[in-house]
Amino acid sequence: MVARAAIILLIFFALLSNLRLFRQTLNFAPKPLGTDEITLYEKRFAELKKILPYHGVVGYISNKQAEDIRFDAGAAEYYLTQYALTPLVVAYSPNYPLVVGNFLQSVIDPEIYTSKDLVPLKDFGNGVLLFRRAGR
Amino acid sequence: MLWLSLFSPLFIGFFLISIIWPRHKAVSPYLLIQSCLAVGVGLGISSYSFFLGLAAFPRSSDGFVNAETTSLLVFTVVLLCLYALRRRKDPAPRSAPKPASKEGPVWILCAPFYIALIAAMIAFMFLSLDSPHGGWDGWAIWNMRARFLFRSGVQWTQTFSDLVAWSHPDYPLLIPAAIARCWAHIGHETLVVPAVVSMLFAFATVGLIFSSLSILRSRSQGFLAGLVLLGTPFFIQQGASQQADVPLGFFFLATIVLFFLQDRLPKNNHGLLSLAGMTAGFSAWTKHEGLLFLACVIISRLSVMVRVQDRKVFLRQAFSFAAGLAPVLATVVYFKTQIATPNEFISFPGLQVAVDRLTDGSRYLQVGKAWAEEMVHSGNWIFSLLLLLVFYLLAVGINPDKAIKPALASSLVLLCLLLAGYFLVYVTSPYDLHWTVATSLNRLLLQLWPSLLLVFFLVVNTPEQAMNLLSSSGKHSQARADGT
Repeated sequence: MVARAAIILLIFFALLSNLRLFRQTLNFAPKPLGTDEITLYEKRFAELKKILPYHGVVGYISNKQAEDIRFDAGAAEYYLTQYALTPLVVAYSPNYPLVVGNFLQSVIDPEIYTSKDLVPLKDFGNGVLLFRRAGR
Repeated sequence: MLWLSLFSPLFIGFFLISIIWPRHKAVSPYLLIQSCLAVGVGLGISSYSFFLGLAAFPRSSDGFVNAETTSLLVFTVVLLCLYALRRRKDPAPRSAPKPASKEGPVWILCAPFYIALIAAMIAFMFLSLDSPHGGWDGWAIWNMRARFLFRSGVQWTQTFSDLVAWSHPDYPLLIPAAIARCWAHIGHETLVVPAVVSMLFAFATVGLIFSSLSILRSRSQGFLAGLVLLGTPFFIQQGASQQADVPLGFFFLATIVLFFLQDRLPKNNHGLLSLAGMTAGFSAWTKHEGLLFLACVIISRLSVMVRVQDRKVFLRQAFSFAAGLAPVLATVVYFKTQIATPNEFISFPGLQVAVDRLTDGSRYLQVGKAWAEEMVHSGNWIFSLLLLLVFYLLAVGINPDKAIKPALASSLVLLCLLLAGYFLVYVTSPYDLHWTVATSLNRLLLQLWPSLLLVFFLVVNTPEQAMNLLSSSGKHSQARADGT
C-alpha cells in the first residue's frame, strides 16, 4: 500500500510540476520573431556598426557606470553592447581613440563626455553616440 | 542547408557509436541509447574539429567548411563500409547485455511520461521563442563566444581578451564552437541553431536516462526516471536558456551509462570504454566542472575496479578509456595552455589564503546551509521531488542488480567526490559566498541531477518489484532475509 502510494505520489507531483511549467509558458504573449528585447536592443546599434571598424577595441561610456561590471546589474547595457558589436571588443573605459556612448536618455548632459576629454563624432539617436578622444 | 549542418554531426556520431557498439541479437532496444549518445558525440566531434580548424587555418573559413564537409562525407562512407564489412564478417551476435525483461504495469507510467514529454517539448519551444538569444549566461557567455568565433575570422583569438574577462573567456568551447560551425556551414547567423542544439541536448538526456534504465532495469523504471526528469521544470528552463549545464549533465550521464553497460559485457570487450573516455573528455570541453568530473571518474574507477577485476583486464580497460579520451583532452589542454585566460575560481589564491578559507568553519556552515536549502527547492517543483524520492526509497526498498554492483559502487564514489569537489570550490571561492552560491548552486546541482536519478533508479526496486513484494509477503520476507 505504501509503495503504491509512493509511486502514485511521485508520478502525480512530477506530472503536476511539468504541467505547471507548460501552463506558464502558454501564458507568454506570442511575439513575432525579431521583436524580443535583445534583438530590439541590438537594432539600436545597427547604424553605429556600419561605421565602426570590424576588428579591434573601442571604449565605452554610459550614464549608468557600474562599480564592478562583473556583479553590478547596471552593467547589463554594457554586456548587451558587447554582444551587439561582437567581434569588436568593447572595453569598459573611455580611454580609447573611439568610444561608444550608450545612454538611456536621448538628451545627454555634455559634462558626461567633456569631463573625459571626449568629442562627439556622431549621434545615432536612441542614446547611441560615437566619440573620439580630444586632441587625436 | 541549416538542417543538414545541424544533423550531419549526429549521423557521424551515430555511425561511430554503431561501429564501436557490441553486436546484439536484439538491436532495437539499443537504438535509442545509440541515437541519444550520437547527439553528444556528434556535436562534440564537430565542435572540436571546428576549433582545431580555426587554430590551424584561421585565414580560410570557407576552405575549412569545404574541407570539413568533404572529410565528414569521407568519414561517413568509411564508417558505412566498416559497418557493412563487420556485419558480413561477424553475422553471429556476440554476448551482450540483455535488456531487462521484467515488464509490469508499464502503461500506468507510459501515459504520464509521454504527456510530460510533449508538454516539455512545447514549453521548451515557447521558452525559446520568448528568449531566442537565451538566458543571461546563454547570450552573455556562450552565444557571444559563438559570435566571436564565427564573425572574427583571422582575429578569432580576440574573444579571449582580458578586456572581456567578465564573459569568462577561459570557458571551454564545445557549445560555442558547435554553434559557430553550423553558422559557418550555412554562411550566416540564425538563432535557430543555439536553440536546436540546446533542445537536442535536453531531450537526448531524457532519452538516454529512459533507454538506459529500460535496459539495465525495466521499462517502467525508465519511464519513471524520465518522468521525474521531465517533471523538473528547472531542467527544461535551463535547457531553453541555452546554457552549458544541461549539455554537461548529458556528458556526465552518458559516461556513467557507458560504464554500466560496459560492466555487463564480457571482459575482452572494451569498446564502450572508448566511448566513455570520449564523453568524459567532452564534459571537460564543455565546462570546467568537466575537468573535475574527469579526475573523479579516474579516481572512482581506480578505487573500485582495481579491487574487483584482474589487473590485466583493468589495464586493458584503462587503455581503451584513455584512447577515447586522449584526442579530446589534448584539445582541452591545448586550449587551456595556449589560448584561454586562467580560470578565476581555481586560480591559486595563495597558500595562506586557501588554508585560511579551508580552516574557516563558518564558510562550511554557510555553504552547507545554502546547499541544504537549494537541494530541496532547486528543481522549481510544486513539491520537492527530492524529498519525495527519499520517501519513495523508504517505501519501495532497494534491490540493485548484482551484475552492476561494481559500476554502482564506482558511480556512487564518483558522485560523492563530485559533490565534495563542488562544495570545496565554494568554500575556497574568492568571491562573496552568498553571491556565488545564489548565482550558481542550482545549476551545479542540475548538472548532477540526471546522473543521480540514474543511480537512484538503478538502486531502488522497480514499480512491479515493489508491488509484487507487497502482494507476496513470502517473497518480501525472502528478499529481506537476502538483505536486498
